[in-house]
Amino acid sequence: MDTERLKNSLNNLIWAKVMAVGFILEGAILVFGCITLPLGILSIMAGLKLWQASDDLSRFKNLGDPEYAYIGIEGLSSFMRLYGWLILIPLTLITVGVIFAIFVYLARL
Amino acid sequence: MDIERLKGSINNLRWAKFIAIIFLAKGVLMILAILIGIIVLIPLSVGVISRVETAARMFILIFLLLIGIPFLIFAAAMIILHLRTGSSLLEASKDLSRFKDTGDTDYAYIGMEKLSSFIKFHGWITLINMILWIINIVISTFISAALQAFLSSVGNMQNL
Repeated sequence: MDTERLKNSLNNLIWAKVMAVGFILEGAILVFGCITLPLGILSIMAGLKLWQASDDLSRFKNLGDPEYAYIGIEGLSSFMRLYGWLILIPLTLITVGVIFAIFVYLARL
Repeated sequence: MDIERLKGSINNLRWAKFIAIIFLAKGVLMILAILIGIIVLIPLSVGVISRVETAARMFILIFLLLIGIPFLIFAAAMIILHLRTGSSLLEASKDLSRFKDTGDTDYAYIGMEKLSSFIKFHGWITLINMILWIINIVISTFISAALQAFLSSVGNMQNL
């Protein structure tokens, strides 16, 4: 595999840091809520994971050591899983809430 | 580079597809919300404007344009960003899945490029959201300070 081409295909790693900061800040706000506490922890975890992944991929770009590429891409994959949960949990809660509200409304009728 | 190890390090592509679909759905929902807003607001504002005097009518029109045009530009930018974020992540996850299935390294490079685009677009969304938080905090602090000052002045007048 062409390491140089892989290096060139990895860009915008500074934006990954911006994203990571956003996740951490959002998590820091969510942690203060009783119900949103798990989401806050998950958001901070996702932010830290993304920060670490972008660090590893930057090291791969600078040093050329493929070991950092593997670790960085693994970190990015873990970030995707955490981000997926971060979307799925509120979506499920909202759906359950809406169904419950419809049931309550229908029961009153 | 060890291709098998790189394949092994690429995981959770289903989660990536799910995130991409959510972004695309958000973009479509934003478009629908804007369209519904325009359909509801235009007849409403025409109704209000036709009832008031000419001077007030001009003031309302200028106010609506001053608020409406920046809002529409901002909404269009957010819609484009959400749609591009979703589409780039969807394409990246498809290309990386193909790399995992076929072992063709070209798909890995293209997938990584698309993933980089996703990071850039999502970064913009994060940055805009952070700026909005700051504006929100500043405005709410300003309003609460003004309200407190007003209430204390009313209290002082009542004491007099």
